[in-house]
Amino acid sequence: MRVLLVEDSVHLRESLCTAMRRTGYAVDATGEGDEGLWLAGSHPYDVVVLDIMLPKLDGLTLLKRMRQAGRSAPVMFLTAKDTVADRVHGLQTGADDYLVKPFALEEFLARLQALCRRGYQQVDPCLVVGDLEIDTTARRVKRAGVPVDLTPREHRLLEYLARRTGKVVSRSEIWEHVYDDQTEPMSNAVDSAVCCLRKKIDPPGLPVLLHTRRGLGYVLEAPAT
Amino acid sequence: MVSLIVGASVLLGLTGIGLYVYSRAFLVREFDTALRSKAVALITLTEKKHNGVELNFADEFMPEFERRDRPEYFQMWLASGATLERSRSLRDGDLPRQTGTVAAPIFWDLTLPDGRAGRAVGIEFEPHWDDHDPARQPEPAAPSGANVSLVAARERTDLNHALAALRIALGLGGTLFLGALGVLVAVVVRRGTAPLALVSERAAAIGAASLQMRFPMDVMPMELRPICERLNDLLARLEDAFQRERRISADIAHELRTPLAELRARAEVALKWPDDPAGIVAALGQVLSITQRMETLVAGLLAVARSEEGKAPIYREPVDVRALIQDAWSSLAADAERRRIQLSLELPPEWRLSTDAALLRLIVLNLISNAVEYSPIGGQVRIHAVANTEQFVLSVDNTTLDLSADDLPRLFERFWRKDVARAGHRHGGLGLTLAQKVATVLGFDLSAELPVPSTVRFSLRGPVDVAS
Repeated sequence: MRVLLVEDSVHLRESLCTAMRRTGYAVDATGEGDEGLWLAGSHPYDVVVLDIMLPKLDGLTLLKRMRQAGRSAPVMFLTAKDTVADRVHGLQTGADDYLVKPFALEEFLARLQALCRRGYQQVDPCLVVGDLEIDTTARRVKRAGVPVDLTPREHRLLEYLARRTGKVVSRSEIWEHVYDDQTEPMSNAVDSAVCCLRKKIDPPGLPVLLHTRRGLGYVLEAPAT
Repeated sequence: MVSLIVGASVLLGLTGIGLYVYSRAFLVREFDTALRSKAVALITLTEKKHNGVELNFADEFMPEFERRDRPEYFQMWLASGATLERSRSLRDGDLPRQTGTVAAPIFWDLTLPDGRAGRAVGIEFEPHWDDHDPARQPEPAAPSGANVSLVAARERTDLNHALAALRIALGLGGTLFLGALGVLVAVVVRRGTAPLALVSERAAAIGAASLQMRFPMDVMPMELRPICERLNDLLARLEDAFQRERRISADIAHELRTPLAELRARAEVALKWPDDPAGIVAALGQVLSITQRMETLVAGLLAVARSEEGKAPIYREPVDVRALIQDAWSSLAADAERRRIQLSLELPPEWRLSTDAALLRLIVLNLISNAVEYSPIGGQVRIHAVANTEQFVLSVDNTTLDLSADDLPRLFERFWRKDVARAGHRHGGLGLTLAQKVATVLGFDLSAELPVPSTVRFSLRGPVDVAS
């Protein structure tokens, strides 16, 4: 899951980035509105988190332009404006959620996850593929009832594949959604990450869930019964 | 209203009594004059003759003394006390004998022999000689004493009736008048106080949340309009002040939300992932710097509030302004260097003011830090001053990219920023507000102008009160 954070307070930006990365999101962050708009146009983010009061370009305008450009990623506003009129205006502009500062970190993360789910039309925070269970809330994964220990990035990769179960996901899509701008672009980064993940979720003796479609990408699906 | 009715009753009663007394005196005097004329006629008919006094009374000329129905009466006595003559109406009765002179007759009320109420006149006179009497003697120089007493009486029922009618007319008229007055006063007072009731009703409904209410001027009588106008002015001022206070409270809440969110996020991240000691130490440092920023914000707000209330104490002393400005600049030099800002300083060589050093430093620090913070990276800050024997002008110029003339009056507003938000805003939009308030407290004037579109200039002007 890849998130764009546009927040002009350096402290808040750093804290939220740390929290999101350590929870397993890929995060791109900026403090300026115009740069935020450019980023939103250049990557298909799963969620965009916007401050309303931003230098150069305010959050509401940014959202309008983003929607005009056809970007439909769910948007959460973070703002110090707390009147009902402000909230209504924010939601009417096209935001999907609205969080007033100061807020609890847990609430922010929970809402972020809810928005991620919404992006893939999922209601249940638990994803199940065959005997593989992924609890996206608790960040726990079990294969045939046995807990599997994953790094945040592996978890992110697995969650992304699981949300698109049965569909072929290309390397570039994985790159767009699982990695952020802080990752050095390497030609085989995606392949090696998938390889590591497969070792953990497809232990010997169990049916293979993560398949490679040569020349197309990867697909996570339950074995045909 | 009650006092008005009571007052009117008393006044009306007194007037009625006065009118009655006057009319009564007039009517009685008229009555007495007529009675006296009758007596004088009888006196004229009385003649002194050689053989005594004689009344040449002719019934046909004065039938009123003869008639049976409602007759009048008279009786004459000689000085000896014997009755000379009495009207036939008296028969054998007597009238009370009581006399004054011709010039000043005595009048009194009495009951007539037939029981009617009457009034009598009593005159003692000296009859004149019969011109034809051979024994006529010349009139003596002094009265001879051979006088005759006359008492004439007639009924006063008509007079009494007239007086009773007058009393009834006055009493009835007065009562009617008072009743009508009461009704009229009630109506007028009610109509007159209706606007007052409206005003009091409106006033009772006004609270902190309904200061937009005004008293309706068009339904007010002329007398109340000035008061309503003043009250409306007062309400307008209160509403302004309240709105300002509300906006300030909202601004403060808004300004504090962001640092609070920063603090909370830092602390929660540090608590959630305690496995990174370096991160926690860094977070603590950031928590400290955010707290300091909040402190500055609160201190600034307090300083503005105090200076608005006029509570900032002033300690005047000779101040070396040049040194003060250089000192202020050196405390901001690191920031300026980081933003690659060029400084030029043009100050008079010797420049002293008698003012409060701490407050002046606050103004200068805010002006310079504002210039450093809001001039673009690589911009210029120019501090220059001119001072003659009467006044001084200290100006701080800085490069600006986005200010227009319309923004100038708003520069001194609390929390105003050209951009809706700016990265790293340390001032919280209070520095210039505070500087201007403090300048006013010190008797200076702080204003902003755009001498050229790319430069904003803040000028502090004031009288030079050179310390010895």
